[in-house]
Amino acid sequence: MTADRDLDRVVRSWLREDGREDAERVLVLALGELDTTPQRRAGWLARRLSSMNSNPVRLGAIAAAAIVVAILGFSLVRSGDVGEADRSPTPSPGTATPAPSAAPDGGVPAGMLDVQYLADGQLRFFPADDAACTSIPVDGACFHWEAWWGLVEGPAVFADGAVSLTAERCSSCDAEWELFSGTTTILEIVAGGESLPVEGCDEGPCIGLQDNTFRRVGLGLPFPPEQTDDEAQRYGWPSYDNVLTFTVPAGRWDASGPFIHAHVGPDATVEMRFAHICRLEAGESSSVPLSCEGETYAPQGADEVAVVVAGYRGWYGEHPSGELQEWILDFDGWWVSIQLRIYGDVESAVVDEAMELLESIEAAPRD
Amino acid sequence: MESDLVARAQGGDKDAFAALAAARADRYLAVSRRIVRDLALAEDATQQALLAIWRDLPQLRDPAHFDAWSYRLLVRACYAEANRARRSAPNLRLLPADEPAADALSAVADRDQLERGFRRISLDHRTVLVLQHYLDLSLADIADILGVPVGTVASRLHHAMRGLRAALDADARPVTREAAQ
Repeated sequence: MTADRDLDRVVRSWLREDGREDAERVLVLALGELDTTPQRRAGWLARRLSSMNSNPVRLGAIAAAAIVVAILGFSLVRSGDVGEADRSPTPSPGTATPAPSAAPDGGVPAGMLDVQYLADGQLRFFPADDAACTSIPVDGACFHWEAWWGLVEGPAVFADGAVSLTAERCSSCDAEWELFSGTTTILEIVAGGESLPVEGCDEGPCIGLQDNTFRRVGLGLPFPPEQTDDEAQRYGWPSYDNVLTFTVPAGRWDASGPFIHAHVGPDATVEMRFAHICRLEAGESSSVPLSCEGETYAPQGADEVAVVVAGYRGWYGEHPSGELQEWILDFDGWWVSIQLRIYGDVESAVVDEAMELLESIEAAPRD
Repeated sequence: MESDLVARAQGGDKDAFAALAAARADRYLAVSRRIVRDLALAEDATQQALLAIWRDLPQLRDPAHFDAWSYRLLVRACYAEANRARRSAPNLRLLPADEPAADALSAVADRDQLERGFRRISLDHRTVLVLQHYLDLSLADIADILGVPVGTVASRLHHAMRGLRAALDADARPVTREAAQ
């Protein structure tokens, strides 16, 4: 404990001893771009919520879940899991709101908060260096959003479960929305991702689950009204409690990209991460997996045990708290860290599904 | 006054935004540099964050929360820049390791060791360490900025220090252990 405090002190002192930064140049550059950087008008969701004299958090979360389910629905359609008959407008359970139509002013169609939607059209991705702007056109308007952290090119859900979306007029809207009653299990989502485009691997083996190499899929779980997120109230953002995100970068895994990150409540989390450790050449070895330069993995503690997962050899260890389990597996010379974190009271079925995914892992040579 | 500036900037007042930005840019750059460990990347992150703040400012409902909100955008920008840089430089994640020897700190003789150790821990871990030890933020505030539960922040801090300790320990000792294949 004393050593911990000492390290805290050392780190604190070191972080603060660096010289003072001068951001003048950066500031000038940024301010110089304001004229060409239009502000986004306040989200339709916030305005609508504030005008509805209702529980903004709950409605925000429902809206967030609905949009994420829409992503799921789109994925299912793409994979063929939803037949033609299912693609006709059908009211969602518990809703009787008709399909949306374009608002008279060309803005967001009426009723979009009250039902769940399936986007039967082209999801349009606008990859950017720092985020992806994704847009679903609908009846003269677009839902669009940005994603970041591990979701460089993915749909609406952030790696941490947050959803950010605004609706704006869209110049080219050739898709239609249909009502959709979603499904809500992890494995269904996995199935739904089957036909998503596969990106080429630019390093390491392509790693797939259940015979698929995925990009990413989002899922909205049923929203218990008693679970709220006061962040939504503080920032005016849609709540994302109980929204499960399922993110799978295709082929390429890096240390920051969450593979699976699931919020199942404000105090409970299941999270899986994939991370390349390093590329090894035959015969290389060293003491710790800190660098890819001539080092290999070796057990870090007495509690780590040799395991075989889905046919891949490696090591397993867990944090004494039980919150973190980690497998280090050798995929043809690529050591991959697979971490499973569980916080709070998570249903065992959710953990079982995560473990089932783990056991389905496959690696293929890079293209 | 600050809230007034924020409100004006939300309405498109560039002068108000410039005042807000000027008061914070140095700190933003300092935080960015400590997270991404590279001045050029930090400058890019800061610039992108400032533009993102301007762009999204109308969506901030409560001007009183401008700082927390803006740090969230700053951290996003840091992640984006770091991810871009990482494409050619794999980052590494540590296993939970044995507690290093208690005297490992004695090996922390210079800043280079800390720098190397800091670079070896993940971006998530660097971020929480900077937010806590440099900005002196509470766990709750860090959770706000990162958009994760407080428990996640606590866990990241724990593992960050553990990883840093392991990295420092490894840095200080010779290579002795062979791979177990």
